[in-house]
Amino acid sequence: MSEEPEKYDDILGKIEEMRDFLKIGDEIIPFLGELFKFIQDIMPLMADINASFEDSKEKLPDAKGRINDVTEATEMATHEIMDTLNDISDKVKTIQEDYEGDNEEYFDDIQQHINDITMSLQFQDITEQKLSHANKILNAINKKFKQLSKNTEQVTVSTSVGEKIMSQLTKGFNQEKRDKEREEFEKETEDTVRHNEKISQDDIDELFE
Amino acid sequence: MTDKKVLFVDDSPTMRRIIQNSLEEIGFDDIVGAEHGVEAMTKLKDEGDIELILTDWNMPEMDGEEFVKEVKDSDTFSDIPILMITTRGMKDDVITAVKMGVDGYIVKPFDAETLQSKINKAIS
Repeated sequence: MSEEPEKYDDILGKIEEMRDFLKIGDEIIPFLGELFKFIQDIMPLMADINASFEDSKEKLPDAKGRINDVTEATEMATHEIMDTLNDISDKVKTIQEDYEGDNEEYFDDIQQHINDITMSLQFQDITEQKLSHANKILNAINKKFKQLSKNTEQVTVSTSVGEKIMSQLTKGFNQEKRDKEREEFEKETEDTVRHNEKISQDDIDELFE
Repeated sequence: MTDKKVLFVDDSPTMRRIIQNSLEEIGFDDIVGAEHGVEAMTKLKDEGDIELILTDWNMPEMDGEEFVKEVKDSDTFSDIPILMITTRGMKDDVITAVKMGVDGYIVKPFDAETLQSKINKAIS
């Protein structure tokens, strides 16, 4: 008989616990609802980010290559200019030696202009250093993208909900929209100076015959 | 002054031609070039009688800062005047170079008159 009140206390205690638990549930459920809505809202954006990241990653090595091409081309052109200036300078000196008139100042002036042009070619070194810095930044970004890509591939999803979310992120939500965006991105990054496919002048002339 | 042997160090082929040309215009005819600090140290030892050094800062293998330090730390070459010719144009860079022990500092792009004036000052 003395045990009965204790059992009732136990039961009442458990009912109190369940009531408290249900109260928490009343607060948590709306929060979970908002959380899921937030995930639903943000998923298209994350899919876009993932797609943009993939597009951009492909273009980085191309950008770096183009920067190297610029450096090479400007260095070659600068040396050609300096060779030509040396030739002009030599010819001016030869003319000056044979010249019988009194125009020393004039010849000195020409040589000074030649020297000034040579000095102005320092732009090539300065440009090359700036481009090299830009390349360093691209290298660092490329490295980060590669690491991000590797980390994404290594993510292990252990829930069916997670699998569905990851699948949507990688495939995207709206394939038609995605294809259009990709096409626009390709146009924006299209190479208009297609020297890799350079055709000779003779071949060009043949096409006009 | 122009009978002295000059060593100039720059990784840019364009700059090496421009500096060589400028030194010849000033009147130097004994001119030695190097692409970076490592090559420059070799040339210093091999040539033996270099009396003026012009060096870039940003270079592969051994940059200008390390090269100047090597030169200043050596018993044989520490008295050779050194001019730094570089694209680094911030005040902190110049202060660093002064602390390294360089005798002059020129920011690219430079003109022939500035080069001549700094060389005159460094050698005197």
